[in-house]
Amino acid sequence: MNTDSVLARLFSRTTIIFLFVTVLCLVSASFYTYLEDRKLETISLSAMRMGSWNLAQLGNEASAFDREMALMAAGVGDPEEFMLRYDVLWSRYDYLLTSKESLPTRRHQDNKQRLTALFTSLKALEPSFATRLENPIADWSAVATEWNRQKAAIQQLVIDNFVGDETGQLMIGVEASRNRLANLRFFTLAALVIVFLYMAFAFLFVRKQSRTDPVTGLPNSNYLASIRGVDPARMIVICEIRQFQLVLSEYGNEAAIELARLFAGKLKAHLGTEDEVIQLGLSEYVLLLAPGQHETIEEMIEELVTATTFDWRIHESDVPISAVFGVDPPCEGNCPDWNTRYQQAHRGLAQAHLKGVSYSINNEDLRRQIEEERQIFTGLRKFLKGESGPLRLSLVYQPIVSVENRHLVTGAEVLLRCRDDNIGFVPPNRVVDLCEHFGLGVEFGQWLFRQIARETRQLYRDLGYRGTLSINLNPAMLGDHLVADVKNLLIEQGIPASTLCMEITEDNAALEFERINQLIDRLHEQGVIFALDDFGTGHSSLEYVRELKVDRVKIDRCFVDGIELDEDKSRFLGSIIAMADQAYMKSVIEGVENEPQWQKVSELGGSLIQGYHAHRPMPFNDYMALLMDPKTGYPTETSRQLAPFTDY
Amino acid sequence: MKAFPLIVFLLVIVFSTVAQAAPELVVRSGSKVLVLDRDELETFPQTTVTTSSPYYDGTVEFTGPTLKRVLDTFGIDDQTQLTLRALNDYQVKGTLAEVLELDAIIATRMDGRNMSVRNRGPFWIILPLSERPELDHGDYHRFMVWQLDQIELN
Repeated sequence: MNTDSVLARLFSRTTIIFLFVTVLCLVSASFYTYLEDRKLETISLSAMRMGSWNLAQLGNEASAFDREMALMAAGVGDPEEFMLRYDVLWSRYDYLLTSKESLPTRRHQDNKQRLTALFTSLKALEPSFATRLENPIADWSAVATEWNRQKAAIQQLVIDNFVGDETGQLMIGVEASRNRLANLRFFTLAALVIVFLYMAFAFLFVRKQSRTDPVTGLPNSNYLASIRGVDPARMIVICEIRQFQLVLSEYGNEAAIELARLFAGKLKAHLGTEDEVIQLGLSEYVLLLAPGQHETIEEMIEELVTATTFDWRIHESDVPISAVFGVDPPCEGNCPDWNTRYQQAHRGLAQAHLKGVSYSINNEDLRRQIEEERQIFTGLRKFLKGESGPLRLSLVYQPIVSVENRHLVTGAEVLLRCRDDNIGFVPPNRVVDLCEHFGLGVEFGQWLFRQIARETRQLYRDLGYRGTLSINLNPAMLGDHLVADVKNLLIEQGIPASTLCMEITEDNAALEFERINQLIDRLHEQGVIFALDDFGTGHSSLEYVRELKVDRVKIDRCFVDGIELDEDKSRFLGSIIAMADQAYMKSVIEGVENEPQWQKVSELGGSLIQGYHAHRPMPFNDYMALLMDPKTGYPTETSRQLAPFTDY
Repeated sequence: MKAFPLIVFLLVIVFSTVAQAAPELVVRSGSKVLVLDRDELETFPQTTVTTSSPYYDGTVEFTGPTLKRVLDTFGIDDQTQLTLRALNDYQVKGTLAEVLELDAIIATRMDGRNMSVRNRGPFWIILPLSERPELDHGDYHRFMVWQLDQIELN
């Protein structure tokens, strides 16, 4: 039997009711004793005092009368004094038999009968006095005899009441009261000890209870709050079950609790006795791990990841369960305090979530990276609000040319450049990812559209230029507002719809390709075309690609790499181009970097080329200068009207 | 044994000076002695106290002069020791101030009639228990001397 079940039994309803009843009994007993002793004190003591006093007086008054009787018998008595003593005695009987004060005396045993009898016989004496009092030498012996009998009875009454009985009874009462008190004191003391012990256990129980999670029995956040420091050699790991909200929403609370219990079990089973697991919520845990003997931190965490990745069987289906870990590694030398380390572990977790990896170890690189991201994000927000700051975004244009004539610029892809005064150049995909993560995606997209229109509209307005503008859509732009944004920010700003080509990636599009197809349809109505970017590198199936209603595919540079050296690669590229042709999609081949590659692509039947061998990305002014170069050809209003799509 | 009748005779002489033929109240203050019979007591201003008591059932009306009025005749101070003595030799002591505070009367009549010795007469110190319930307690009951015979002041 372990401590838990002992404690649980100790605080069961039965035990509590039992204790309650015991205490109630003790309180009742105390109250009863109190009442009994009060009665003993008030009734017995007053009865004894009054009883003995009055009977003592009866005795005295009887003696006084007795003296007078003796004097009368001796013939020297004073009749008046004799009668006075008689009357005094008479009034005593009257008092004893009628007054309220002497009620207890009367009530005691057969006192009342004895007193009544004595009073009657005293009264009976009176008639015999009358004749004798007038005659000084009368014979008093008969009266005296009668009186002596009474006197003896009075003395007996006094003795019975004084010594023998009332006092004894009172003493017995006091004795009993004392015993009752002693017993009560013993029981009260015992009860106090029990209650004290109970309270001590209760304190421990409540403390333990408050620091333990009711579901898994693991220490909880109350326990965590009590942690002041942790051994520097230990690593702090924060662990969160992935997509726990989905489990909760899909299968309900009970299932979620069940999962938490299962997961906690796996964690405990994997960890050693020196390791601690603390539960923060159903899906979040803090692990304090002792350093491994021969393993690196990475190995330890990877084992942990493996141990907590499993298929959870519920409702006849298997749900894949895994967790994300943030790690603050053991510290050497200057060890920060517990709160900082705890925060660092959380930073690791946040980073792992951001990167979509299963764990991330907090170290100097990560700290710097996070700090940098914070800077970039702050700069981005300022920039997009139109405030000046260290970070600036700008656009560059990479011309797309015809494979047959590299001087024929059929359009350009708009690319993003980002520079921060403190950090230097920031890769565009990092900017886009940050915007996406922190909810700036739409704002960023709209800035992009506005900026493109601002820079390029003079080409369309003044030169009659009709080359395509390929614009990368970030995921946040793929919403219903896209149609309005394209219309308001591009078309109505002077960019002909027919020159716009929206580039989407497989990964973005394939997630919800039905919705994307609707967007594509609506923009097709305006004349806008779509290209599938990075074709062949995504994770989606060809089926999605077939279903997406795009007009162009952009074949990734990885399919171009080495085609001039390897016949297989070249054939593979050829088949992709052929497949695109078959699907009535134009292909744009990216990453053509030298003449042999160019020749190969030309042989393979590719039509449009985007790559360093033709042009590097360039600022707008250079792009415009390129177009203005007499050697350069480009589609114009008239040429497109005459023969759309044929000249590039 | 011849001397016995003589002793008895002497005793009778002594007794006869103490015992009263007609009810009288003797008030002594040192050498001063005041003997008041019932009529004389009734010449003082009379006070009526209607009260219940532990000594009888119901409420009874007592009449007589206040103890204060009777003792005022002596012009004595508050700290004087007062002894109330009854026919049955019961006695109770207290300071004058303590006793006068009780608003006691020397009752000569009970429900308008003289009291015999059998009825706790001839004089009875009565406290207004009904009017002043705080006095209805053993500590004060002891001052309610019946068959009052003498009052000593010293």
